[in-house]
Amino acid sequence: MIKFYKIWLICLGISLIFLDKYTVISYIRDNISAFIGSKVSLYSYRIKSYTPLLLMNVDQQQDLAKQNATLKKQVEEYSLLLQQSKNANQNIKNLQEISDYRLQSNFKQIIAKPVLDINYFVGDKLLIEFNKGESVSVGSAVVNKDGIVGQILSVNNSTAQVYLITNPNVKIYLQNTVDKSKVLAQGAGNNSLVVRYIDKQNSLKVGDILETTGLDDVYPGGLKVARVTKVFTENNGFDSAVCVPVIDFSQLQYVSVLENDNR
Amino acid sequence: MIIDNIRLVMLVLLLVILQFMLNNITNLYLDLVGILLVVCLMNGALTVLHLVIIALVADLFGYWYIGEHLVAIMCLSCIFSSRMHHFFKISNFLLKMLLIQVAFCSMSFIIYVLNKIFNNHSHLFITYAIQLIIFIPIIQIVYEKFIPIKSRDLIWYD
Repeated sequence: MIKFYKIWLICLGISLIFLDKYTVISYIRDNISAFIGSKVSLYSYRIKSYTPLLLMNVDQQQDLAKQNATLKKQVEEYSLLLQQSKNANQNIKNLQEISDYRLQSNFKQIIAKPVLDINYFVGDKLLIEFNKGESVSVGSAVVNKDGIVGQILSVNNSTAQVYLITNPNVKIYLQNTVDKSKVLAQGAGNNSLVVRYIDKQNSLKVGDILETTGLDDVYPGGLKVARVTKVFTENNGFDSAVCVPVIDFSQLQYVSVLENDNR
Repeated sequence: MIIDNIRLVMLVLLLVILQFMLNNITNLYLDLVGILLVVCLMNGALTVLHLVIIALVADLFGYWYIGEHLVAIMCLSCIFSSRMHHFFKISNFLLKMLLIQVAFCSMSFIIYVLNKIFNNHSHLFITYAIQLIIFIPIIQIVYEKFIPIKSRDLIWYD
């Protein structure tokens, strides 16, 4: 004969199961247990990995540090590529705006896609890809809506190598957006340009924006190039200025190659 | 009550910690407190209140629905009568172990059915095998060595 209280306890157990199933009790309990479980796993992993770390010799530690550095670099490159891939449509729209409003009619426009490779990181060069049917000639300007990117150095089948304006081999004729005074800027590497032999009358100040003049046949006039970050007097008596490009080259999504028909 | 059952409380705490660690670190899903519950039931040394408390502890730290162990152990206590308790007490170690294994299988089956009804997760077969072969003898030995025998548990023969 089953005792009466046992039936009550079985009913109590079943009601507890229902309560657990259909209220927040199990949710709270599962969350707490998952939290504690993750902490337990973390600390057990640390305890397990601590002993091999202590016994590891110097070579292994150095290898580990190298691998860590390589992985870090890869992550940085991937994050750059990820940033590049954002806002692609907006970038093409911006390039259309260049052709509509700002370019002179004698410039032919080809849209290309930049590729960040090793030359970008160490040689101030940029590889661009364009459609196979289109032709790009050496010396053409490469621009973006925000300003000048550089000049074509060499052309292959569907790719071209571009000298960025920060490359020491590039010289570009610029003017101050405020008083239109003309200066010659040269790439100085390390994401900067330098302007030398500035006249004392030339009031170039920190924060001034330099733009293209339009006097050469390469670049159309009025496109922004660089911002002055430092002005200093050299031993020869002239002033010099250090500038940084207005474009962040690592953020480029699409660029426009401009070919002057008159050249 | 805690002072009276201090050894039992320590054993439950020990098993809870061990079960929690093993369930989180390995893929196993052990029910060590459930085994203790069955051992206690079979030895018949504990009151119903003890069984209810241990059953709730087993549910709480084993990720089962609260009340499953209670239902299972009460069903078992209905099946195992007082004659069975007397038979268990006069049995030797191996027979005791066999009886506990049978009881544990029954309890696991009831919990399995409840889990199926309420769509809870099911466990690996290897988990049951490990519990039956390894943990039941260990917990039985620990229980017998650790928990003192009360005078009412002794059987006197004329």
